[in-house]
Amino acid sequence: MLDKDILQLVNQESFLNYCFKRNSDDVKYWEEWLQKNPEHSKQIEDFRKILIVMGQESRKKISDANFAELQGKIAQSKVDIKPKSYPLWKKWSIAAAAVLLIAAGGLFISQNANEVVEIVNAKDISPGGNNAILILANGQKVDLTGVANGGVVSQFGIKVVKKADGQIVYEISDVDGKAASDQYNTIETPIGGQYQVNLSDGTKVWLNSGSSLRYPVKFVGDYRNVELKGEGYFEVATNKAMPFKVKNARQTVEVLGTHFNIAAYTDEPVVKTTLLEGVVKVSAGKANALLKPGQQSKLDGAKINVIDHVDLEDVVAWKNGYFKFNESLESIMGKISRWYGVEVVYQTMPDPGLTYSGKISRSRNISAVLKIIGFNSDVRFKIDGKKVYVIK
Amino acid sequence: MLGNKKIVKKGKDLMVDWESFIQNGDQSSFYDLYSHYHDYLTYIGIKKGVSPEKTKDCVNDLFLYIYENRQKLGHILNHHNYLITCFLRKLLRKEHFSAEESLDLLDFEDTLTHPSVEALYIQQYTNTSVSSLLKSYINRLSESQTRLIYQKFYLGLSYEEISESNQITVKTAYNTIYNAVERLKKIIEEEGVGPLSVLLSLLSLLILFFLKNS
Repeated sequence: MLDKDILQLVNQESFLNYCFKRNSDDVKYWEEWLQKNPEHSKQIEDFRKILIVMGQESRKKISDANFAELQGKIAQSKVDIKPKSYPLWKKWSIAAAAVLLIAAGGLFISQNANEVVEIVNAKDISPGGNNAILILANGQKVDLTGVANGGVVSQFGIKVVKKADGQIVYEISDVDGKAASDQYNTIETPIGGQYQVNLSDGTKVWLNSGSSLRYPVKFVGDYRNVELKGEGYFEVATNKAMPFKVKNARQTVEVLGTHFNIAAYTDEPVVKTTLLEGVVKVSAGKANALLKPGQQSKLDGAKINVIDHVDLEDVVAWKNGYFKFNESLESIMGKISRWYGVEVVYQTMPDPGLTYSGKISRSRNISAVLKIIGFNSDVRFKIDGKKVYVIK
Repeated sequence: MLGNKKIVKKGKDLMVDWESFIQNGDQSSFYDLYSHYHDYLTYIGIKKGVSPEKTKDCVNDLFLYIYENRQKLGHILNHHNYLITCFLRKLLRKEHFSAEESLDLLDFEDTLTHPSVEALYIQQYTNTSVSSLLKSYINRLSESQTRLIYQKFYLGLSYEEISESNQITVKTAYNTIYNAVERLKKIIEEEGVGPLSVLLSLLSLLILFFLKNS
């Protein structure tokens, strides 16, 4: 079909000018030549089409790779953390090298695979935001999202304050006299919601999406007891006379005054407690562990494992407004599903041994986040309504 | 022409995209601008003898700047000249250009980088099965083969320009392109002619269609 002679034509400028219609003299020359040699016309025409499509596909590949690199830079420029890290794409190219080795085996790539993220019905999914619901001791629910800046929901002991940086904080103050000390309120963040809550003792709690914090209207007694579901980052105000306890269904963390993060989602098998400052005691049934800064406890079943030198920036990235991934695809998709309120459907099972890393702002649409994950790796995504399909 | 839809977009046609990005931060407009000017500016960079890597960095720096500063760019009336001037400043590390260089700039006025209208028809109507098939072939070419094919077949640069920018001899440029096409030929032969003949007949249909409609 394509023999040696015809291959030589790729080095002839005049033939290429004919193929791409770049020079009318050359076009004329070759058209006349083909009229004189009609036996070659089909072969030449096929060859010409191949060259055209080769040019286009090469262009698409290069342009897309360069655009993905730009996206990485954009993602990084919006994220204002310490300026220590490499350009994102460099990290990615390292991570992707491993992925590509695996992908190299694949022969054909399915239809539409040239898009890392395919959006059905042209509907991207916007990120979560500052949303929360207050549930009073009597079960009454108050949507706090709509309360204006400076607005006070004082009868519930809550004031909504907008800080200089635009962040919204709930200041919770002791309700005077009337409130019984055994009354508990709950602040709940929906999927796609996130909030900072300042408790009446000065403790700050950041709640990640799909989480809730149950706290007493007034702290009295020997302990400051709160209950956490989901994920929260705590900066506990020091009060040695009255230790602070965070409970969930499976463990208790007891502290005097310190900074730590607890991830205790019910759909994840492991409860992770990570200490940034101070000392905490984690106990679950008979097991317990004392954590030092930089350590993380993992409660798996009834066992507590302690890991040293955890990357603390990774752990609290969510609180600082970005995703930082350095983990399996399934773990990443768990975070994404909670923030964007999507269901993840695996049409191809990711290799659990493969680590994907990257960093991107949580205020981007879901497609931008998926593009960063899919860039240079073997996974692709399809967004259809509120479902994200992981495809090859 | 097909429903009067403009297929060959020129820089000026992107005015709408420019405004929509500058005013509303529209992401798809940003992508369209990038997609268009990526080729255009790469063409200029290579033609000026600058390496592909540095050219790419200048393109991305420029678009990063635009992305970060869009709210300050509302006063730009001629986005095309603005983009090209900024790009050349980055590329040549100069703040001002001589009269000669400015004239040189005008020579790049829009028409040069585009493949023929016919090629664009093919491109536009081969975005599904055909292109994924071709893509699987292209994915097996080396990085330098892909890069040179882009520069040669798509941007239409001369072998001399390509050799200077990529810092290789003209002979190496010839050989790289030749080997890429030969490799493609081998792949096609190894995998049988089935998919390829489907591809080619589809392309023939498209070209017929194009001839009828142009």
